[in-house]
Amino acid sequence: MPLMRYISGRLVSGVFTIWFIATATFFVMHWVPGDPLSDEKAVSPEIRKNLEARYGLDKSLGTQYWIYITSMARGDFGISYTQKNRSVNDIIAMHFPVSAMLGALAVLFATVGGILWGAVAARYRNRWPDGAIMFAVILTVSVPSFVFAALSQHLIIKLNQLLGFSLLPVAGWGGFRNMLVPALVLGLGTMAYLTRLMRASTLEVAGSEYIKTARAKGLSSLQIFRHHEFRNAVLPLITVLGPAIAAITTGGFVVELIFTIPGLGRYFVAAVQQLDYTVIMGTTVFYGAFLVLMVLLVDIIYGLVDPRIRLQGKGAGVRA
Amino acid sequence: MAERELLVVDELRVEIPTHGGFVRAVRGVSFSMEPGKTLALVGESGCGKSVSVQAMLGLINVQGLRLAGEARFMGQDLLAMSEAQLNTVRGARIGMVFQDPLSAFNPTRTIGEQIAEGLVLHKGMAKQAALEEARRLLDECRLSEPARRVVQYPFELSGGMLQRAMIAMALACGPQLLIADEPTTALDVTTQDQILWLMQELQRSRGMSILLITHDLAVVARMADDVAVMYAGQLVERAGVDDLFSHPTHPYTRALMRATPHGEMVRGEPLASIEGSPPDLFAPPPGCGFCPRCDHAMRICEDRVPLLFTSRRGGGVSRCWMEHPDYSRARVVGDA
Repeated sequence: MPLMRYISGRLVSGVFTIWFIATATFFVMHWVPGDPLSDEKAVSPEIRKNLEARYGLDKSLGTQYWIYITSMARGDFGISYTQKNRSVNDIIAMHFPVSAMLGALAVLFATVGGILWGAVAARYRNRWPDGAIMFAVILTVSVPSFVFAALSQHLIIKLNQLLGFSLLPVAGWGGFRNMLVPALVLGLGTMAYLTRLMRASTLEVAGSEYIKTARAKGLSSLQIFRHHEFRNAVLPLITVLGPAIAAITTGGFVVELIFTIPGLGRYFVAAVQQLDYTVIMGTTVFYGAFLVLMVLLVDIIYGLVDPRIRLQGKGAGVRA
Repeated sequence: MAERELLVVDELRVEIPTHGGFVRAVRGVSFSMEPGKTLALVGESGCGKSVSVQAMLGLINVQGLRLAGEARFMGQDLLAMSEAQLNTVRGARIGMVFQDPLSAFNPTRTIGEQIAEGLVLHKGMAKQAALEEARRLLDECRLSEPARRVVQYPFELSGGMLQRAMIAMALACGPQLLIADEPTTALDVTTQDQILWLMQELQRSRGMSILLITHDLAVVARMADDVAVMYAGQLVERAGVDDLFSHPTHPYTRALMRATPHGEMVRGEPLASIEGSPPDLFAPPPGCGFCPRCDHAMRICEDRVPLLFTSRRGGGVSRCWMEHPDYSRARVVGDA
């Protein structure tokens, strides 16, 4: 079956991608001055030697690399340097679901918002709703997410003061109410990007010949929008959903920090600061694999939605 | 007042706004069509033939478009209609076939869905019944395996097959008028022939009128009852098809005919070309639009646009000063 062959091909190339990410991260990480032990208060050379032996840091870089890659292939990311007796696998298993939930909600906000705003902007092209939306888009793209995060916290406090009770928590984790604002902030940049894309793609579809055909058939502009423009305009958005998910998950580090959400991003940032080799490697490779899978999933979905791609494997597309 | 004519276009003017100003794309075009007959609108690219028809149906979606004149279809002025009123005419009483069948179909919906759409809208059919009717229409348009085509997507069909499907789509609601805008230009010669044959056959069985937009005189000779020749946004000659081909009157029509290959040509004989290019329609000349390219141009041609004079030979009209009743006295012998 062509689809299975396609998927397995993509998975094989995905493995290579992950291997490349792991290798690059490994050497860049070791290239950075210092090591996980150098940050601690001065330790005697003997203790340091013992520690190096325990973590395998006394071996040559090549040997360390080999050990790392082989254990990674078995699914073992090793033990954290800074958090005693916690394996990297445990850290990921415990904190990734939090990041994933936040990210999923952010992606939902971004796509629904992007499609909606983009469609509205295109429908009112060159009129004031279009101008207002495009202004907001440029603002959102140029202002970094931590500014919006701080701003939204400020607004939440004002709102709670105004109401006299706590409608939304300012920070922390636990329940849907905690997720709402961080997810919105996290999805904002992607929403702006998708809005612009949706606007452009709707306009492109609106100018195509088959829309003229639809008008010649006597369909009203609303009917044309519902039956012809909307669906075709959304299709190209699916292709950027993979990279969009990537943008949101990597953007999550900052937002998690500001809203004190116990997601994986916080551990990643802390690990980089402390040169916690195993945690850096584990989270990087894990995110890499996650994104490779997401992009693959998005591509498969696109194939299912667009008949031109869906039917190509059947050899039915005979053109004279 | 009930008119015998199906469509009467009277002094249609279309001006399209661009960054460089208004393009005077159609400058006072008049013609009429009788029920059951075929009128061919002929001319080179950019002469305004497509624009006239699309403007008439409200298909030019440009803000600030200027329209003037009348286009009475079955007694009602299309230009005066609201968008909602136009939607009861378009697709129901006037069907439209476009030039490039592949881009005229929505690539993500099946042929059947796209034909059924009009039936659901204008005839209030249920989806399933409309799809069945779509199959029957495809069969009527001689598309092979119509039941399979209904569920296929545009990219799965060849250009000729798609053009048949588009004709089926245009005819779905039994229109009185079929407008075909260069229906065979995108097709190869054998397919062209089949499509023209199909249109003639459908016209006979359904008794509808066809407004055929084309630049191909061979297609005109084969299909048309009447011909209207356009140049630079104006109608330059209008005549019955036999009159036009036996006595082409306007210099442009004659130049067009000399530039068309025909059966009696000798091998190696060069085709005549029409030197020069059409006038700038941002600022149309005050006189005859063809005069810079015309072998017979006179001083008056540069200053004043000729009226549509009754042709001296044949039964048509021609926008040329040489057809003016007083011209014959000064006329050079053998020039006709």
